[in-house]
Amino acid sequence: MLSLAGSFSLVWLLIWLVLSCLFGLIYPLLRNGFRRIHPGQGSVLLLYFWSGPVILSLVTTLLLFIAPLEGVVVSDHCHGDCGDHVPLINSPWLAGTGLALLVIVVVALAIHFSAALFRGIKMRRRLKMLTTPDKGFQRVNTGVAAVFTLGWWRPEVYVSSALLSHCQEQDLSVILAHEKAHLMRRDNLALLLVRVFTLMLPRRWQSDVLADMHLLCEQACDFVSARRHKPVQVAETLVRIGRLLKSQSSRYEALTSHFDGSDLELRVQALLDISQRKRLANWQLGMLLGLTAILLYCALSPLHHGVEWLIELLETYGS
Amino acid sequence: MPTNLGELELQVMQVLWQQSHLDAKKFREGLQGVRVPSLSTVQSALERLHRKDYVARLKQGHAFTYHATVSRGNLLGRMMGEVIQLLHDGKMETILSSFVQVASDMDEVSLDRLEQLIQRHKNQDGE
Repeated sequence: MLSLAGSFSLVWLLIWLVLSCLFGLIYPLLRNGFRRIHPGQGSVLLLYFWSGPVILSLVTTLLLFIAPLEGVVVSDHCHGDCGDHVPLINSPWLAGTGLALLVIVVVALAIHFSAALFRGIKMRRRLKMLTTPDKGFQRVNTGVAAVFTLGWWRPEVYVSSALLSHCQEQDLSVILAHEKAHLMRRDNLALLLVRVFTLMLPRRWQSDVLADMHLLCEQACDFVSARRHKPVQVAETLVRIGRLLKSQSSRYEALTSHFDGSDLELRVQALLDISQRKRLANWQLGMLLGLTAILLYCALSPLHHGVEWLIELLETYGS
Repeated sequence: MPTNLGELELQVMQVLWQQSHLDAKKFREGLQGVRVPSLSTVQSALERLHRKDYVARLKQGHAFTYHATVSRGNLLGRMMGEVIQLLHDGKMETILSSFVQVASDMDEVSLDRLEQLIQRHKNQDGE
Protein backbone atom coordinates (compact mmCIF):
# COMPACT_ATOMS: atom_id res chain seq x y z
CA MET A 1 0.00 0.00 0.00
CA LEU A 2 2.83 2.39 0.95
CA SER A 3 4.58 1.47 -2.27
CA LEU A 4 1.49 2.30 -4.36
CA ALA A 5 0.62 5.53 -2.49
CA GLY A 6 4.25 6.65 -2.44
CA SER A 7 4.79 5.84 -6.11
CA PHE A 8 1.59 7.64 -7.07
CA SER A 9 2.51 10.74 -5.03
CA LEU A 10 6.08 10.94 -6.29
CA VAL A 11 5.10 10.37 -9.93
CA TRP A 12 2.31 12.95 -9.71
CA LEU A 13 4.58 15.58 -8.14
CA LEU A 14 7.36 14.91 -10.64
CA ILE A 15 5.07 15.12 -13.66
CA TRP A 16 3.47 18.26 -12.18
CA LEU A 17 6.94 19.81 -11.81
CA VAL A 18 8.03 18.88 -15.33
CA LEU A 19 4.76 20.07 -16.90
CA SER A 20 4.90 23.32 -14.88
CA CYS A 21 8.37 24.05 -16.24
CA LEU A 22 7.23 23.14 -19.75
CA PHE A 23 4.14 25.36 -19.51
CA GLY A 24 6.31 28.10 -17.99
CA LEU A 25 8.66 27.94 -20.96
CA ILE A 26 5.90 28.18 -23.57
CA TYR A 27 3.88 30.78 -21.61
CA PRO A 28 5.84 33.83 -22.90
CA LEU A 29 4.83 32.80 -26.44
CA LEU A 30 1.13 32.71 -25.50
CA ARG A 31 1.08 35.70 -23.13
CA ASN A 32 0.18 38.28 -25.77
CA GLY A 33 -2.56 36.01 -27.08
CA PHE A 34 -4.26 35.97 -23.66
CA ARG A 35 -4.01 39.76 -23.54
CA ARG A 36 -5.54 40.22 -26.99
CA ILE A 37 -8.79 38.31 -26.51
CA HIS A 38 -11.76 39.46 -24.42
CA PRO A 39 -10.51 39.63 -20.80
CA GLY A 40 -13.58 37.75 -19.52
CA GLN A 41 -12.63 34.80 -21.69
CA GLY A 42 -8.89 35.44 -21.36
CA SER A 43 -8.99 35.10 -17.58
CA VAL A 44 -10.93 31.81 -17.82
CA LEU A 45 -8.55 30.42 -20.45
CA LEU A 46 -5.55 31.50 -18.39
CA LEU A 47 -7.01 29.64 -15.42
CA TYR A 48 -7.57 26.54 -17.60
CA PHE A 49 -4.08 26.84 -19.06
CA TRP A 50 -2.43 26.92 -15.63
CA SER A 51 -4.68 24.18 -14.34
CA GLY A 52 -3.04 22.11 -17.12
CA PRO A 53 0.09 21.01 -15.25
CA VAL A 54 -1.76 19.91 -12.11
CA ILE A 55 -4.81 18.38 -13.85
CA LEU A 56 -2.86 16.75 -16.68
CA SER A 57 -0.28 15.39 -14.26
CA LEU A 58 -3.07 13.94 -12.10
CA VAL A 59 -4.93 12.43 -15.08
CA THR A 60 -1.69 11.11 -16.53
CA THR A 61 -0.65 9.58 -13.20
CA LEU A 62 -4.07 7.97 -12.78
CA LEU A 63 -3.85 6.51 -16.28
CA LEU A 64 -0.33 5.29 -15.60
CA PHE A 65 -1.49 3.53 -12.45
CA ILE A 66 -4.47 1.74 -14.03
CA ALA A 67 -2.85 -1.53 -15.07
CA PRO A 68 -5.53 -2.73 -17.62
CA LEU A 69 -4.95 0.46 -19.65
CA GLU A 70 -1.35 -0.49 -20.28
CA GLY A 71 -2.04 -2.21 -23.60
CA VAL A 72 -4.26 0.67 -24.78
CA VAL A 73 -2.16 3.72 -24.04
CA VAL A 74 1.31 2.30 -23.44
CA SER A 75 3.36 0.39 -25.98
CA ASP A 76 3.78 -3.33 -25.16
CA HIS A 77 6.84 -4.16 -23.09
CA CYS A 78 7.91 -6.62 -20.39
CA HIS A 79 9.65 -6.49 -17.05
CA GLY A 80 10.27 -10.22 -16.58
CA ASP A 81 6.76 -11.75 -16.26
CA CYS A 82 5.17 -9.76 -19.15
CA GLY A 83 1.92 -9.12 -17.22
CA ASP A 84 -0.02 -5.83 -16.78
CA HIS A 85 1.98 -3.55 -14.52
CA VAL A 86 2.20 -0.03 -13.16
CA PRO A 87 5.40 1.89 -12.40
CA LEU A 88 5.86 0.97 -8.72
CA ILE A 89 8.64 2.03 -6.35
CA ASN A 90 10.07 -0.95 -4.45
CA SER A 91 12.24 1.03 -2.05
CA PRO A 92 10.19 1.83 1.10
CA TRP A 93 12.15 4.99 1.93
CA LEU A 94 11.67 6.39 -1.58
CA ALA A 95 7.95 5.59 -1.52
CA GLY A 96 7.74 7.16 1.96
CA THR A 97 9.52 10.27 0.69
CA GLY A 98 7.03 10.60 -2.17
CA LEU A 99 4.04 10.33 0.15
CA ALA A 100 5.60 12.70 2.69
CA LEU A 101 6.26 15.30 -0.02
CA LEU A 102 2.64 15.21 -1.14
CA VAL A 103 1.41 15.53 2.45
CA ILE A 104 3.78 18.48 3.03
CA VAL A 105 2.51 20.25 -0.11
CA VAL A 106 -1.16 19.75 0.84
CA VAL A 107 -0.66 20.77 4.50
CA ALA A 108 1.45 23.83 3.57
CA LEU A 109 -1.24 24.97 1.14
CA ALA A 110 -3.99 24.47 3.72
CA ILE A 111 -2.05 26.45 6.35
CA HIS A 112 -1.18 29.23 3.91
CA PHE A 113 -4.78 29.67 2.78
CA SER A 114 -6.33 29.28 6.24
CA ALA A 115 -3.98 31.92 7.68
CA ALA A 116 -4.98 34.46 5.01
CA LEU A 117 -8.65 33.56 5.38
CA PHE A 118 -8.55 33.86 9.17
CA ARG A 119 -6.76 37.20 8.95
CA GLY A 120 -9.36 38.43 6.46
CA ILE A 121 -12.26 37.33 8.66
CA LYS A 122 -10.74 39.06 11.68
CA MET A 123 -10.16 42.26 9.74
CA ARG A 124 -13.67 42.19 8.34
CA ARG A 125 -15.21 41.80 11.80
CA ARG A 126 -13.19 44.76 13.10
CA LEU A 127 -14.06 46.94 10.12
CA LYS A 128 -17.73 45.96 10.33
CA MET A 129 -17.86 47.30 13.89
CA LEU A 130 -16.33 50.62 12.91
CA THR A 131 -18.08 51.25 9.59
CA THR A 132 -21.64 52.16 8.61
CA PRO A 133 -23.65 50.40 5.90
CA ASP A 134 -24.54 52.54 2.89
CA LYS A 135 -26.17 51.79 -0.48
CA GLY A 136 -24.28 48.65 -1.54
CA PHE A 137 -21.09 49.36 0.39
CA GLN A 138 -19.64 50.00 3.85
CA ARG A 139 -18.67 53.60 4.57
CA VAL A 140 -15.38 54.06 6.45
CA ASN A 141 -15.26 57.44 8.17
CA THR A 142 -11.61 58.30 7.79
CA GLY A 143 -9.48 60.95 6.12
CA VAL A 144 -7.53 58.30 4.20
CA ALA A 145 -8.84 57.84 0.65
CA ALA A 146 -9.37 54.14 0.07
CA VAL A 147 -11.66 51.78 -1.82
CA PHE A 148 -11.25 48.04 -1.48
CA THR A 149 -13.12 44.75 -1.34
CA LEU A 150 -12.68 42.39 1.57
CA GLY A 151 -14.07 38.90 1.97
CA TRP A 152 -14.23 35.46 0.45
CA TRP A 153 -17.67 34.14 -0.52
CA ARG A 154 -19.55 37.36 0.17
CA PRO A 155 -17.00 40.13 -0.26
CA GLU A 156 -17.99 43.61 0.84
CA VAL A 157 -16.93 46.88 -0.70
CA TYR A 158 -15.44 49.48 1.65
CA VAL A 159 -15.28 53.10 0.57
CA SER A 160 -13.75 55.78 2.77
CA SER A 161 -15.54 59.07 3.37
CA ALA A 162 -12.42 60.90 2.12
CA LEU A 163 -12.76 59.18 -1.22
CA LEU A 164 -16.53 59.70 -1.36
CA SER A 165 -16.16 63.44 -0.79
CA HIS A 166 -13.90 63.68 -3.84
CA CYS A 167 -15.69 61.40 -6.30
CA GLN A 168 -18.91 61.85 -8.23
CA GLU A 169 -22.01 59.69 -8.01
CA GLN A 170 -21.14 58.16 -11.38
CA ASP A 171 -17.71 57.11 -10.05
CA LEU A 172 -19.31 55.29 -7.14
CA SER A 173 -21.72 53.53 -9.50
CA VAL A 174 -18.80 52.43 -11.71
CA ILE A 175 -16.86 51.17 -8.67
CA LEU A 176 -19.82 49.20 -7.32
CA ALA A 177 -20.59 47.64 -10.73
CA HIS A 178 -16.92 46.67 -11.05
CA GLU A 179 -16.77 45.11 -7.59
CA LYS A 180 -20.09 43.31 -8.09
CA ALA A 181 -18.61 41.76 -11.24
CA HIS A 182 -15.68 40.41 -9.17
CA LEU A 183 -18.22 38.80 -6.86
CA MET A 184 -20.27 37.26 -9.70
CA ARG A 185 -17.18 35.96 -11.48
CA ARG A 186 -15.68 34.51 -8.27
CA ASP A 187 -12.34 36.15 -9.12
CA ASN A 188 -11.06 35.56 -5.58
CA LEU A 189 -11.35 31.82 -6.14
CA ALA A 190 -9.79 32.03 -9.61
CA LEU A 191 -6.78 33.94 -8.25
CA LEU A 192 -6.37 31.44 -5.43
CA LEU A 193 -6.50 28.52 -7.87
CA VAL A 194 -3.92 30.11 -10.19
CA ARG A 195 -1.67 30.69 -7.16
CA VAL A 196 -1.96 27.01 -6.22
CA PHE A 197 -1.57 25.76 -9.80
CA THR A 198 1.63 27.77 -10.30
CA LEU A 199 3.18 26.63 -7.04
CA MET A 200 5.89 24.64 -8.79
CA LEU A 201 7.05 27.61 -10.89
CA PRO A 202 10.04 29.77 -9.94
CA ARG A 203 8.89 32.82 -7.93
CA ARG A 204 9.54 35.28 -10.77
CA TRP A 205 7.50 33.27 -13.27
CA GLN A 206 4.69 32.84 -10.78
CA SER A 207 4.59 36.62 -10.15
CA ASP A 208 4.23 37.26 -13.88
CA VAL A 209 1.37 34.76 -14.20
CA LEU A 210 -0.43 36.17 -11.15
CA ALA A 211 0.01 39.74 -12.44
CA ASP A 212 -1.49 38.69 -15.79
CA MET A 213 -4.40 36.94 -14.10
CA HIS A 214 -4.99 39.95 -11.87
CA LEU A 215 -4.95 42.31 -14.85
CA LEU A 216 -7.34 40.15 -16.88
CA CYS A 217 -9.77 39.88 -13.95
CA GLU A 218 -9.69 43.66 -13.43
CA GLN A 219 -10.19 44.29 -17.14
CA ALA A 220 -13.05 41.77 -17.28
CA CYS A 221 -14.81 43.62 -14.44
CA ASP A 222 -14.10 46.98 -16.10
CA PHE A 223 -15.80 45.59 -19.22
CA VAL A 224 -18.81 44.44 -17.18
CA SER A 225 -19.03 47.90 -15.63
CA ALA A 226 -18.73 49.39 -19.13
CA ARG A 227 -21.92 47.56 -20.18
CA ARG A 228 -23.89 49.72 -17.76
CA HIS A 229 -21.82 52.86 -18.15
CA LYS A 230 -19.87 53.97 -21.19
CA PRO A 231 -16.32 52.56 -21.48
CA VAL A 232 -15.01 56.12 -21.49
CA GLN A 233 -16.81 56.84 -18.22
CA VAL A 234 -15.23 53.77 -16.60
CA ALA A 235 -11.81 54.88 -17.89
CA GLU A 236 -12.38 58.37 -16.48
CA THR A 237 -13.31 56.93 -13.09
CA LEU A 238 -10.18 54.78 -13.06
CA VAL A 239 -7.93 57.78 -13.70
CA ARG A 240 -9.85 60.00 -11.26
CA ILE A 241 -9.64 57.46 -8.43
CA GLY A 242 -6.02 56.69 -9.36
CA ARG A 243 -5.16 60.37 -9.11
CA LEU A 244 -6.91 60.65 -5.77
CA LEU A 245 -5.10 57.64 -4.31
CA LYS A 246 -1.83 58.89 -5.78
CA SER A 247 -2.26 62.29 -4.13
CA GLN A 248 -1.98 60.67 -0.71
CA SER A 249 0.73 58.19 -1.69
CA SER A 250 3.39 60.41 -0.08
CA ARG A 251 1.92 59.30 3.24
CA TYR A 252 2.41 55.70 2.20
CA GLU A 253 5.46 56.12 -0.02
CA ALA A 254 7.25 53.15 1.46
CA LEU A 255 4.19 51.02 0.83
CA THR A 256 3.73 51.85 -2.83
CA SER A 257 7.33 51.75 -3.98
CA HIS A 258 7.10 48.34 -5.63
CA PHE A 259 3.79 48.65 -7.45
CA ASP A 260 3.82 47.96 -11.15
CA GLY A 261 2.70 51.14 -12.88
CA SER A 262 1.39 49.49 -16.01
CA ASP A 263 -1.87 48.21 -14.51
CA LEU A 264 -3.91 51.43 -14.68
CA GLU A 265 -2.59 52.35 -18.10
CA LEU A 266 -3.40 48.92 -19.57
CA ARG A 267 -6.90 49.00 -18.09
CA VAL A 268 -7.64 52.43 -19.55
CA GLN A 269 -6.28 51.44 -22.95
CA ALA A 270 -8.32 48.21 -22.92
CA LEU A 271 -11.49 50.19 -22.22
CA LEU A 272 -10.81 52.66 -25.02
CA ASP A 273 -10.20 49.75 -27.44
CA ILE A 274 -13.01 47.63 -26.05
CA SER A 275 -14.35 46.61 -29.49
CA GLN A 276 -11.01 45.05 -30.44
CA ARG A 277 -11.06 42.47 -27.67
CA LYS A 278 -13.03 39.63 -29.28
CA ARG A 279 -13.95 36.26 -27.80
CA LEU A 280 -12.65 33.06 -29.39
CA ALA A 281 -15.26 31.17 -31.40
CA ASN A 282 -16.57 27.80 -30.21
CA TRP A 283 -14.80 25.93 -33.00
CA GLN A 284 -11.48 27.49 -31.92
CA LEU A 285 -12.09 26.40 -28.33
CA GLY A 286 -13.05 22.91 -29.56
CA MET A 287 -9.81 22.67 -31.53
CA LEU A 288 -7.80 23.67 -28.46
CA LEU A 289 -9.54 21.00 -26.40
CA GLY A 290 -9.02 18.34 -29.10
CA LEU A 291 -5.36 19.23 -29.43
CA THR A 292 -4.89 18.92 -25.66
CA ALA A 293 -6.54 15.46 -25.65
CA ILE A 294 -4.34 14.24 -28.56
CA LEU A 295 -1.18 15.55 -26.86
CA LEU A 296 -2.17 13.83 -23.61
CA TYR A 297 -2.78 10.52 -25.38
CA CYS A 298 0.53 10.72 -27.26
CA ALA A 299 2.43 11.61 -24.07
CA LEU A 300 1.22 8.65 -22.00
CA SER A 301 3.49 5.96 -23.41
CA PRO A 302 6.72 8.02 -23.22
CA LEU A 303 5.71 9.15 -19.72
CA HIS A 304 5.18 5.56 -18.56
CA HIS A 305 8.67 4.56 -19.78
CA GLY A 306 10.18 7.82 -18.47
CA VAL A 307 8.72 7.23 -15.02
CA GLU A 308 9.96 3.63 -14.94
CA TRP A 309 13.42 4.82 -15.94
CA LEU A 310 13.35 7.55 -13.28
CA ILE A 311 12.24 5.15 -10.53
CA GLU A 312 15.03 2.75 -11.49
CA LEU A 313 17.52 5.60 -11.41
CA LEU A 314 16.33 6.84 -7.98
CA GLU A 315 16.36 3.32 -6.52
CA THR A 316 19.85 2.67 -7.88
CA TYR A 317 21.18 5.89 -6.35
CA GLY A 318 19.15 5.34 -3.19
CA SER A 319 20.63 1.93 -2.58
CA MET B 1 0.92 50.80 18.25
CA PRO B 2 -0.82 47.56 17.13
CA THR B 3 -4.21 47.77 15.38
CA ASN B 4 -5.12 44.12 15.89
CA LEU B 5 -7.78 44.71 18.51
CA GLY B 6 -10.19 41.89 19.34
CA GLU B 7 -13.95 42.24 19.01
CA LEU B 8 -14.47 42.84 22.73
CA GLU B 9 -11.68 45.40 22.81
CA LEU B 10 -13.34 47.25 19.94
CA GLN B 11 -16.68 47.11 21.74
CA VAL B 12 -15.00 48.60 24.78
CA MET B 13 -13.44 51.36 22.69
CA GLN B 14 -16.83 52.18 21.18
CA VAL B 15 -18.32 52.65 24.64
CA LEU B 16 -15.34 54.81 25.63
CA TRP B 17 -15.70 57.01 22.56
CA GLN B 18 -19.29 57.73 23.61
CA GLN B 19 -18.69 58.15 27.32
CA SER B 20 -15.41 58.76 29.05
CA HIS B 21 -14.10 58.10 32.58
CA LEU B 22 -16.02 54.92 33.39
CA ASP B 23 -15.01 52.18 35.77
CA ALA B 24 -15.27 48.49 34.80
CA LYS B 25 -18.71 48.02 36.38
CA LYS B 26 -20.29 50.97 34.58
CA PHE B 27 -18.49 49.90 31.53
CA ARG B 28 -20.14 46.49 31.52
CA GLU B 29 -23.53 48.17 31.78
CA GLY B 30 -22.68 50.19 28.67
CA LEU B 31 -21.89 47.13 26.60
CA GLN B 32 -24.71 46.02 24.30
CA GLY B 33 -25.31 42.65 22.74
CA VAL B 34 -26.88 39.27 23.31
CA ARG B 35 -24.01 38.05 25.46
CA VAL B 36 -22.67 40.63 27.85
CA PRO B 37 -19.24 39.52 29.11
CA SER B 38 -18.47 39.00 32.78
CA LEU B 39 -16.89 41.77 34.87
CA SER B 40 -13.51 40.05 34.97
CA THR B 41 -13.53 39.67 31.16
CA VAL B 42 -14.25 43.39 30.81
CA GLN B 43 -11.49 44.20 33.29
CA SER B 44 -9.04 42.04 31.31
CA ALA B 45 -10.01 43.76 28.05
CA LEU B 46 -9.49 47.19 29.66
CA GLU B 47 -6.14 46.07 31.00
CA ARG B 48 -5.04 44.88 27.56
CA LEU B 49 -6.13 48.16 25.99
CA HIS B 50 -4.20 50.03 28.68
CA ARG B 51 -1.07 48.00 27.89
CA LYS B 52 -1.56 48.71 24.17
CA ASP B 53 -1.82 52.48 24.97
CA TYR B 54 -5.36 52.74 23.64
CA VAL B 55 -6.77 53.83 27.01
CA ALA B 56 -5.45 55.70 30.03
CA ARG B 57 -6.70 55.15 33.57
CA LEU B 58 -7.05 57.12 36.76
CA LYS B 59 -7.39 55.67 40.23
CA GLN B 60 -10.53 56.93 41.93
CA GLY B 61 -11.04 55.39 45.36
CA HIS B 62 -10.66 51.61 45.01
CA ALA B 63 -11.38 51.47 41.28
CA PHE B 64 -9.82 52.70 38.08
CA THR B 65 -11.69 54.86 35.61
CA TYR B 66 -10.74 54.67 31.96
CA HIS B 67 -10.73 57.04 29.00
CA ALA B 68 -9.70 56.61 25.35
CA THR B 69 -6.38 58.04 24.21
CA VAL B 70 -6.99 57.19 20.55
CA SER B 71 -9.92 58.62 18.59
CA ARG B 72 -12.16 56.54 16.36
CA GLY B 73 -10.87 58.36 13.25
CA ASN B 74 -7.29 57.80 14.33
CA LEU B 75 -7.84 54.06 14.78
CA LEU B 76 -9.62 53.77 11.42
CA GLY B 77 -6.77 55.71 9.78
CA ARG B 78 -4.28 53.22 11.21
CA MET B 79 -6.41 50.30 10.06
CA MET B 80 -6.51 51.81 6.56
CA GLY B 81 -2.70 51.96 6.68
CA GLU B 82 -2.70 48.27 7.54
CA VAL B 83 -5.08 47.54 4.64
CA ILE B 84 -2.84 49.49 2.23
CA GLN B 85 0.18 47.54 3.49
CA LEU B 86 -1.64 44.23 2.93
CA LEU B 87 -2.76 45.35 -0.54
CA HIS B 88 0.86 46.08 -1.34
CA ASP B 89 2.16 42.79 0.05
CA GLY B 90 -0.30 40.85 -2.09
CA LYS B 91 -0.33 38.10 0.54
CA MET B 92 -4.10 38.40 0.89
CA GLU B 93 -4.92 39.12 -2.74
CA THR B 94 -7.60 36.45 -2.82
CA ILE B 95 -9.46 38.08 0.07
CA LEU B 96 -8.49 41.74 -0.16
CA SER B 97 -8.33 43.75 -3.39
CA SER B 98 -8.21 47.40 -4.32
CA PHE B 99 -10.32 49.00 -7.05
CA VAL B 100 -7.19 50.63 -8.46
CA GLN B 101 -3.57 49.83 -7.64
CA VAL B 102 -1.65 53.08 -7.46
CA ALA B 103 1.91 52.85 -8.67
CA SER B 104 4.76 54.85 -7.23
CA ASP B 105 6.20 55.25 -10.71
CA MET B 106 2.87 56.58 -12.00
CA ASP B 107 3.38 60.32 -11.73
CA GLU B 108 1.08 63.22 -12.50
CA VAL B 109 2.44 63.38 -16.07
CA SER B 110 1.37 59.76 -16.69
CA LEU B 111 -2.08 60.47 -15.30
CA ASP B 112 -2.34 63.66 -17.44
CA ARG B 113 -1.37 61.60 -20.49
CA LEU B 114 -4.11 59.09 -19.73
CA GLU B 115 -6.65 61.89 -19.36
CA GLN B 116 -5.56 63.34 -22.70
CA LEU B 117 -5.92 59.91 -24.27
CA ILE B 118 -9.47 59.62 -22.96
CA GLN B 119 -10.26 63.17 -24.15
CA ARG B 120 -8.93 62.39 -27.64
CA HIS B 121 -11.08 59.28 -27.73
CA LYS B 122 -14.13 61.31 -26.70
CA ASN B 123 -13.41 63.89 -29.39
CA GLN B 124 -13.10 61.16 -32.03
CA ASP B 125 -16.47 59.77 -30.99
CA GLY B 126 -17.91 63.29 -31.11
CA GLU B 127 -18.90 63.34 -27.44
